[in-house]
Amino acid sequence: MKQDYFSSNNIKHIDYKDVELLKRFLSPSARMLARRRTDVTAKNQRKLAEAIKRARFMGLLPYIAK
Amino acid sequence: MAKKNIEENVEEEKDFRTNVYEVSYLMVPTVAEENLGEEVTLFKDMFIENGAVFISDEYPKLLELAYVMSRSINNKKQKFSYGYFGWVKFECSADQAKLIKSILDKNEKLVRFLMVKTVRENTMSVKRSYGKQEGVKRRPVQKTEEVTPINVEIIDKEIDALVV
Repeated sequence: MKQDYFSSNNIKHIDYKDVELLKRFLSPSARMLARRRTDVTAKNQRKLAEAIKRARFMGLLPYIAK
Repeated sequence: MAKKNIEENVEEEKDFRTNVYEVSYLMVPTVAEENLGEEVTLFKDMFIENGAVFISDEYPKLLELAYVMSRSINNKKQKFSYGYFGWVKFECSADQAKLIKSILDKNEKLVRFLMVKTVRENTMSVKRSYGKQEGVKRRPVQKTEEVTPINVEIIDKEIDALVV
């Protein structure tokens, strides 16, 4: 069984400005990875999704990459 | 009468209850690098003028945006692919935050801004070397090829069979 990335690295708050961290959970076409691929807890997946959406709004991450 | 007093106390408590907010912003790239410091101090002073308590901030940096953004300035739609990205963290009440938001909405020096509730502590994770597991070394795979002795006679017979 794989461990949650955020709890294993002791990350309590997922920051939308932490682009390098968020990029780990995006596909090459900049889509969010599903929970079965990210292996994070449901709570952290929700936080991750929120952070990615905020980063997209601020132009730090693309909505879609070709 | 007593109920009214309780209600008033609750209202007063609401006013005093403060939250930590963070405003990240994209300033227009048309601002010259020399005037950026001045613009940033003006921007930060606005928060203090409206009763916010400053916690921390990051000086804006010129950033290539992930996509082209459009914003109407002086009734003209303008497109931006670059912007100065920075953020300010402060503490204030919900009413003050609402006021600050309405002021930021009118600010034409900003391409976009985002106001979120956050915590006082630093939320950025410490930079790591991603994708590399430290301490775990892979053993080089040793390829062992089985060497079979070549029997010349058998090969000659097979060649003859093919030719004939």
